Amino acid sequence: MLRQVAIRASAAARSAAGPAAAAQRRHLAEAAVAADKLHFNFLLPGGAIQKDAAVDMVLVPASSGVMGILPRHAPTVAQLRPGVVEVHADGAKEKYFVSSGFAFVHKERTDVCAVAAAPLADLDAAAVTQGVADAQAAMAAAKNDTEKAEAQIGLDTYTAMRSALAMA
Amino acid sequence: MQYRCTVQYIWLQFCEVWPMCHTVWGLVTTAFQTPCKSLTVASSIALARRCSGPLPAPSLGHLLPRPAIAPERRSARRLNHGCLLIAVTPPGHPGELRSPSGCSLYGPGTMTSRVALKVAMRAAGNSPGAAGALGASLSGRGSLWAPVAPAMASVGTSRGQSSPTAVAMEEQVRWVNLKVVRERMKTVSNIGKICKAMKLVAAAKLRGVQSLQQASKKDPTGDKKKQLIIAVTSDRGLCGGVNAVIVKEVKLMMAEDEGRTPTGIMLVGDKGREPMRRVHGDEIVVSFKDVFKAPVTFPQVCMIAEDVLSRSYTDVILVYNRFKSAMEQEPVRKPIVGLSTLLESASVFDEYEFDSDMDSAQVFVDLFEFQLATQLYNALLENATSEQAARMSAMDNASRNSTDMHAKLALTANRVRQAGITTELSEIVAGAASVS
Repeated sequence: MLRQVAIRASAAARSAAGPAAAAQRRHLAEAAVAADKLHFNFLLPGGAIQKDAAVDMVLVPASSGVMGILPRHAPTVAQLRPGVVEVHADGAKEKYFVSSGFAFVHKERTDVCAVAAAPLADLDAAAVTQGVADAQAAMAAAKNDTEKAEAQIGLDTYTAMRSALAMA
Repeated sequence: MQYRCTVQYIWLQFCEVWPMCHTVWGLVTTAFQTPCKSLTVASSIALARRCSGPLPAPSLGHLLPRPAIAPERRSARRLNHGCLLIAVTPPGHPGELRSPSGCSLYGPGTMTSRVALKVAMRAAGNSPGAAGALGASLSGRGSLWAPVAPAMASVGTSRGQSSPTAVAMEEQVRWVNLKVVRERMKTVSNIGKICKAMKLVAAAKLRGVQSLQQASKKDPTGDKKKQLIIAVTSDRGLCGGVNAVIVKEVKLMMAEDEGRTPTGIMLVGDKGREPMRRVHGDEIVVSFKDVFKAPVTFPQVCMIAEDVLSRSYTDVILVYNRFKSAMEQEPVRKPIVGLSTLLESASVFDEYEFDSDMDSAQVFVDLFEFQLATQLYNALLENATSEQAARMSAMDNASRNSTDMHAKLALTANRVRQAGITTELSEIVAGAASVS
């Protein structure tokens, strides 16, 4: 699973413009949030994109499909697949492409812990297309199961990126 | 075979006597030279008295080569001519000890009893004559000593009497005393040797039994525990004491464990390798180098975490330097919750729904892996920060030292230069003076 994670993360990093900052993860304070808002944390290994944010809704690409998280959602643990996390706050929608991770919906807050994430705007379409082609070539040239699996993971990620860009 | 019986018998007697015979133990451990084949309790009591007080009237029971054994004792144990302990049952009252006939060693009623021995001890302690009488009673059968025995008894009973015959008797008694004492010394040292041998045997058996006992100790987690220590050090040196404290911490952990748990050591960073290899080279399973060449990234950590997961360990403990401030870094041990423990405490997750596409067990495994990677990442980052902070302060110290040293050397250089100039001048002046 970690190999998947690593490959997806590197794929996302290659396509994104800005590098991930290497900062410490900090203990999350339980900030009080209004009852009709979602207490949301968007966390990366190297830092937080959003911390203690009060948002209206979050769409996460869970393994079973896109999941919408509203305030007072039932506690859930969802594993993420490569896709787009949409954060709806005050009418504005922010989209991030995440390579993989976990989404935890607790009673009082929601954590999306992604391995690698980049704003969708930072993804370079040309690099994504190139990545898809490379992955397909690697898939064809794969000699054993491991290489095939790795190529498949790369292909999945780049394809997801492509469809994310297409939908945006 | 013979030896075993003897040893057993002595040991049993010893155990009976043990609770009250501190003095007897004292004499056994004293270094006596002459061996002696037999030692009676009574005579040992007498000897104990000797150790503590004036020489009592001697008892000669031990000199009997082969005393007859009480019938019930004979049936209980097979005795031989070797060392023989005879426990005496004196009559209950000390006063009665005076009459030799009062004690019957070989009668059916002669059974060792603690009470009886206690009384004997007390009697021996109270009156020196009693011990003699005791001994005399023991020697009732020995015809060899018959002429002496009554004399003993008489000497024992009539204390303070100073008749010429008594004096002469006393002299004889004293020479016999010496021989008696020497014989007793022999016996005691023999006993000592036997006890020493028994002690060594028991020590060896203890070791064997103890290892069994420890192996049978139930681990709280139930199944076999295998732990992996991940020690995070730096790649380059000149960073103060951060690597040394990690090595020390790991050594401490191994020492605390005392080899109970099968442990593996994983080293991340070059600087931990040499010190650990010297001491715990066998336990090192893998060592990563050039980890900190570039800033640590999560995919890199994922690779390390995958290696950890590919090995079957129940517990993983991270040892790294926690960054408290630029001045302060301290080593910490951080145990990572093992997968088995996570699965056991899965009830915590009951209130959480799991994604329907994957079964919860798989999610657990993935979650555990993710958690491991994240904590490892954190540990590596903290250690890298600590390393840089320590290097900063170490190099700061070093540069300050070099400035001081430079100043001192400058002074020395000036002094040397000036001395050279002075020498040259004096030579010139001397030369000029000689010319003019």
